[in-house]
Amino acid sequence: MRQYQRHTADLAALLAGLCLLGLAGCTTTKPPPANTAPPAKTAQAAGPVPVLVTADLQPLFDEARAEFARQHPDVQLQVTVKPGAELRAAAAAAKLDGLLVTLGPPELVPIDQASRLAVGSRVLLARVPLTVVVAPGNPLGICTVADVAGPKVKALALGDEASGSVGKEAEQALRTAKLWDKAKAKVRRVPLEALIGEVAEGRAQAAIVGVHQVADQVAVACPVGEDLHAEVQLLAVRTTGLQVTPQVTALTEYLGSAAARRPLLAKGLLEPQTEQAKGQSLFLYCAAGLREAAETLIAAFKAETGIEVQPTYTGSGCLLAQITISQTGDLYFPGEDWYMAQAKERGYVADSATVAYFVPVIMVQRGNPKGIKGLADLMRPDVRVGIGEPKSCAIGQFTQKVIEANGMSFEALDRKAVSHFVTAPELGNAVKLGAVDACVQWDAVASWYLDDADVVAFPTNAQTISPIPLGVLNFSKHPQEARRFMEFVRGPKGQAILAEHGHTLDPAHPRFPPAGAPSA
Amino acid sequence: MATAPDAPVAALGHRRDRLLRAILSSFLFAYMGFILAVLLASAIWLTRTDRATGSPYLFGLARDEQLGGEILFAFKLSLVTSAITAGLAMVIGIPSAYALSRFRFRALAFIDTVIDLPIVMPPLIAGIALLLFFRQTMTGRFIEDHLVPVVYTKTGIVVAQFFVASAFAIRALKATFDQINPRFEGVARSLGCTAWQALWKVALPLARNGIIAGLVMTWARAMGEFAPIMMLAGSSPGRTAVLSVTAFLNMSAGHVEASIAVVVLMVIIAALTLVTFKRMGGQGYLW
Repeated sequence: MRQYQRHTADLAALLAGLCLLGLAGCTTTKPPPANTAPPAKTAQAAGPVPVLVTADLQPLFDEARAEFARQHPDVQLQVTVKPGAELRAAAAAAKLDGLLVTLGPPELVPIDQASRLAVGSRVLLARVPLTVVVAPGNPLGICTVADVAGPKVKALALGDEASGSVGKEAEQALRTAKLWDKAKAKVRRVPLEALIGEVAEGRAQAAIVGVHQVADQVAVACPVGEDLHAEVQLLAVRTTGLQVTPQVTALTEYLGSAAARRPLLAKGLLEPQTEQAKGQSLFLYCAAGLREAAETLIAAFKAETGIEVQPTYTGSGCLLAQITISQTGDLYFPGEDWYMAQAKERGYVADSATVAYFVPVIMVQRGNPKGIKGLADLMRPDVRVGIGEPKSCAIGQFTQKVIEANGMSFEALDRKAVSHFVTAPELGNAVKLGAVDACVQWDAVASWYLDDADVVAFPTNAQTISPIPLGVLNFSKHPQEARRFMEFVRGPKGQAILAEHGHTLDPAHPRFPPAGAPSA
Repeated sequence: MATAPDAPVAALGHRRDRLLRAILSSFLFAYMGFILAVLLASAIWLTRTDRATGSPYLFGLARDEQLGGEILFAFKLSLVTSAITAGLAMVIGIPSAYALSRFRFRALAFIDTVIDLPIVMPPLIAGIALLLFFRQTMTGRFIEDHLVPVVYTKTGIVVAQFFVASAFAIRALKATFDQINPRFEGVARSLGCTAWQALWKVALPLARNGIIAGLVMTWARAMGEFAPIMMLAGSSPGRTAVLSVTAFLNMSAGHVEASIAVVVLMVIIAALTLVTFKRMGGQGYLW
């Protein structure tokens, strides 16, 4: 009887286990979400739109409106320009109505308290970073915010109460940096419009201004860290007296768009951090060999947009397996086009672009003790050669290509190689640790080891250069932000970072030009 | 020593015995020397001068805030996740091991094989299977979407470690329970204990040292786990990169010295673990 009971208990446990397995066995497949279409443009109409612009923002606004005039030639703007404090007071007192372009948000508080702000009309154009300006040539050698509180600066100009967020956040930054007690005795409070003049005319040795105010009479000493203060925003908002016409809508929509932002970003302003973008995080599958560059790119992208990117690093093929199984993530940054092609074939890629190139070079021991001058020297019996395994890594495939393109036998090299490696960094490590004398290596990877190894370049062509792709995945829950990352990497800042990490951006100008060729 | 009743025969002192002893032990010491030489090579390499900075690699690493910080973070993350894993593995392991040791199951061979599978499974395959379970099955998706996100998170680290380390825990604990004569529990029962009391008051206290040894070993095993973690939790430095993953990441970014520093750190941890394991009287095969 007891034996019977024991078996029943076991049977029940087994059944429970099987149920769990059964549930697990029902595999699910979820179609990748379709990408959201960009918002449609509004209809055009005629009639002047009143716009109120604070004096300090007028040059910026003029740049931003130029493109608007091209897109909407039939919409007239009637622009009123006054010093900020005066303009906002007039708006709060219902003396002026229109689309108010101002810094904020503290500047909007009095207008809001007078119930003169149209609910939900606020458009964020950009963030305004603060910066320390000094006399041209920086005679006092000020290079950090801490120097501003130091003894060399006798007077420091900050915006006064009426100047709004620029003055307020400058003080906040000094307080956060624990410099306020040292600095407060020499602070001169002046109106926003007078800040530059204070420094240019020598009444103050330094001033903290919004980056849009920087003019030729002064020099930029250093930026004020964004982590020290709340953000200063460039905003547009409707006063309650302004009728909402299609023209007004067209202008507000334009001001929130990338076209309006472009000239602002060129002036040093930063992309606004939308509520949506804040705290959002993109997941990036990144080839381990691209890690150094990727980390800098991620940090710079976060500084500009506030969007976090969480990377995972391993071999490109392993990443592809992870993408295939997990069906999540936003971006794929493999070391080679072949993997991107595989991902595209499986329908995982919404969009992709080439962001840089890998160019093969010969990596040799420091000081080139074996006197290697070109690919032919790799065949010498006294040279210990390591090669990438062609089936496992791109550098292996390209080693084969360059050897054969130069009329040599890859099989012969393969036979004489002392060892085979499955990733490009392993080849580099082998040279660094002295295990091999030479190998064919990617230029960017070789440039990591320049303290321990030397590079011998040889001529290459389109067939022997490998493009590095970056793609947006179909499963992405934030396709727009993911695309923004891709555009960032392709843009001037991203490209500069890639170049800094030894990547070739233009195949015609490789990182290590072969002897006799023009340098990059 | 030589007078102890269970003294080894070769210690008795005949000349020929000493020769035998010398020959046999030379093999032992040769292998031991080999292990030590390999480990020392890593430690010594770290003191070599780095051409980039002109000071030894180890100092450069200690000064490099980013790399040093990354290793420190990985170390803490490894400590915390493996401690949680070891705790969870004990919760599962003690009852399972006791059941395996004391009860007769009909399909004992089958159960035993399944429990051993995570140990013999190639670690990379275990990782892929875990990823597949959590992303491609209804149960897994339900857990991911409604209970707790696992894939590419710190939870994933614990899950990956748990999957493999629990099997080791059960193995080590079963060996402990097997060594405790069931007659002790039988005697306790005959003296009026219930089955629960016999387990609680007799078997568990007797197994105490074995349980602690098993705990330490499971913890060390979880600490050394690599491939399943990389597949399931990803390898994001500063988020999910544990020590072993950090060693791999730095190797693949050309930071050989950082990898080797991690290796040395892990060897030291492993050595400490082994000493604890042996002191607590841990027995049986480890891996």
